[in-house]
Amino acid sequence: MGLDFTVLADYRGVLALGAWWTAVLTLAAAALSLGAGILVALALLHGPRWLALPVRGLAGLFMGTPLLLQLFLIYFGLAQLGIDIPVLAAGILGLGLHFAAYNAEVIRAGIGALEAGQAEAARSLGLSRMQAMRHVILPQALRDTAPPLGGNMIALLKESSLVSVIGITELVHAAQRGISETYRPFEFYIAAAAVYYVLNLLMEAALGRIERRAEASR
Amino acid sequence: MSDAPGRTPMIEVRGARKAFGAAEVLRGIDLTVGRGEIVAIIGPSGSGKSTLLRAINHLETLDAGEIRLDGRRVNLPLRGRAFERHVNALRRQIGMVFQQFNLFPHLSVLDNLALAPMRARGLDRQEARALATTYLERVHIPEQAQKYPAQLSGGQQQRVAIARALCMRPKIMLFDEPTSALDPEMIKEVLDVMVELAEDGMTMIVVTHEMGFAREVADTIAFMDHGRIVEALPPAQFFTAARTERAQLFLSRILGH
Amino acid sequence: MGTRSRAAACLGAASIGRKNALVLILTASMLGGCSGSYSWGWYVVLPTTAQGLSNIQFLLSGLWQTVAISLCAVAISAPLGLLVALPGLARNRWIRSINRIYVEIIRSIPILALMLWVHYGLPILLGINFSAFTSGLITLIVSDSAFTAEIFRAGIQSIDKGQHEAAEALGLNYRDKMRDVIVPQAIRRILPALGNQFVYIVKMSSILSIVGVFELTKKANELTTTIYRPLEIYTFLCLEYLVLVLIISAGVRRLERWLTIDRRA
Ligand SMILES: Nc1ncnc2c1ncn2[C@@H]1O[C@H](COP(=O)(O)OP(=O)(O)OP(=O)(O)O)[C@@H](O)[C@H]1O
Ligand SMILES: [Mg+2]
Repeated sequence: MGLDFTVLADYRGVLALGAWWTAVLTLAAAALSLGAGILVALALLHGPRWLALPVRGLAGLFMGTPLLLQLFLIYFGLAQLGIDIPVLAAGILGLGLHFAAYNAEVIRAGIGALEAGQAEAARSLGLSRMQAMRHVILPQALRDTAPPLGGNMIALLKESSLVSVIGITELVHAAQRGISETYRPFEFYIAAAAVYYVLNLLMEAALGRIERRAEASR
Repeated sequence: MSDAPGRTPMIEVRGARKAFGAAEVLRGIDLTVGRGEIVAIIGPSGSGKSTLLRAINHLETLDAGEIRLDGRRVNLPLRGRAFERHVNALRRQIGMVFQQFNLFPHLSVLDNLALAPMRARGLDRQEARALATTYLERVHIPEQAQKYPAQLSGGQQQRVAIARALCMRPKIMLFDEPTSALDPEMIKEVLDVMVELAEDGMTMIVVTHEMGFAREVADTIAFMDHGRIVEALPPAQFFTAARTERAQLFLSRILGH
Repeated sequence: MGTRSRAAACLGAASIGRKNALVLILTASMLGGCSGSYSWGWYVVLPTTAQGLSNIQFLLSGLWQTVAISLCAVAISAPLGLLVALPGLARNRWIRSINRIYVEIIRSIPILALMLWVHYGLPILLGINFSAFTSGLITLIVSDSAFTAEIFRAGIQSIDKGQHEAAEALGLNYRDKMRDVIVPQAIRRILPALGNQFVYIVKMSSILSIVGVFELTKKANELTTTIYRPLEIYTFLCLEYLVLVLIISAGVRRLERWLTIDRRA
């Protein structure tokens, strides 16, 4: 059986739609993971003591178990509890929370590295604790941790393929649909890999720009 | 100089040049070191002292000029495996001691010493360890054999580094500011070991800021500035009658006037 | 040390302390406990009933495959990763590009897509069929070797230049220098990152269920289709992975302590 990439032509609409959903999922989940990551980091560093334990436990759960399983639990498990959420929301929630746990670790370390000197300097200027965190510490911590956070976001892009198993028609799912109709797995997976590669490059370029801007503000 | 007439010198450097990009670091160095001779190289920071030592050991490649070790050419224009064989054979005859000790932190003191004899000279483990023990005794720390480098003081570490180089039975020892990273009270224990080496007839090139050591032990003091050896004189003459203005200036600074 | 902490940060520093183990288990059971109006069916995984016991046995029967495939993958991909890392350290740009191309391409393909490609695509190209286990193993090895190569490269590059020079000045050749001086130090330094990568592989092995490897996740999926109790069964599955991950983290910390004992004092 030779290779025949022309079969892809009929499916370019499906593949393009898959790529679109992959991009949407990734961006939405990335935003969630950053926001939630910051909140978790703050809760762990400055939250009330009773909050620290369960938050740390939950974060550990998200890091210590497979993402696939978290998607199953959120989608099928919540449904069993009578909470029916749309599949796309389940995908974003799963991806976002999973990576929020990882981001929180990074951000917490970033804040920790800054805190002593910078916080004192900010407080001595008369800023409140909240203000110091919001205007002085957090922006610097995010800038310093931009490279590892970027690494997490690239991982998120790739792992977004896992939501295909709960039935979101993202890129891999779209490729699988094409394959089930044409039985041309080789061509479709190569195409999907190529699209991931391009998305990856786009993301790296965007992250590179952010990092350079962050670097310039040192 | 203690060079016997008719015998080849241990080290011969002719017209050595080296540039890093636009910066010329060695600008035509000539230096001869006879057997058993001890040369102290002094000079301001950035004058190219380390680069010269590293070139003798082929850690840097010269742009022009030649270096001979015991009559054999050091810097040959070889590539690939031939280069590696040639360089390794040469380096086994040259001992080098670094300012920062560069001991292998994951190996015990004894294994630091035994590694190269085993790998490069083909001794078996027992022979290599026996050899290592002998040289640890020569630097007066046989009792530290089983410790790891991080558990030793700076002076002890540097003495281990000297013993490690000696284990290869080198023809010449190169020292690049061996005491500059040490606390004052440890400098003496390292210098003492170097004096003993000198008394045993080892050929040595020592880059140093220890003027006392240079005056007492060296046969020749070479003063480097801006990539050149500006003066090379026996200590007695150097300290009293340095001819060049730059050497005099350097001396007056370093001797603290 | 800079590269080390960065590598650890990139991987999210997933190693979980022993103290946290308790917190995790507590949290997991708390999640189970807060119920509202839902009537739980924990009996499906309760060892006190015959039904529950046989369910548990069924779920645990996937453990062997998960452990075996993860261990095989790591055992092969770690040396492979070192082999891939070495050309990445060369001065020659072309030799270096071998490393870059391998690492960049593999790292940008989702592991799921890679697995589907290996399992359904590669047989067409080669004319041989792989068992699900083999496909899964190949996938994990290929993917992990690229990540491990990056860890090795960063670790080796983080070793001080003075160590190279000291080894070279003693006349050691490249092979001896790397084997006896550089790589052992690099490995100590990257152990936490390698440990995290191992944890990642164990968790990622769950996707092998999709091509039909009978590991932990596949077993749970099967049981869910017969008894529709996804919440309880997947929670149990979570605990299974958690225990595995905690064991690995503890093992890595042990190894680290053992390797650094007396060395850095
Ligand atoms: N690998 C290199 N790349 C670029 N420049 C270098 C390199 N090595 C040395 N140099 C430069 O060459 C000059 C001479 O360096 P060298 O280390 O030989 O001086 P030195 O006399 O040993 O000084 P010091 O007393 O500070 O050790 C310095 O200006 C240094 O910055
Ligand atoms: Mg120097």
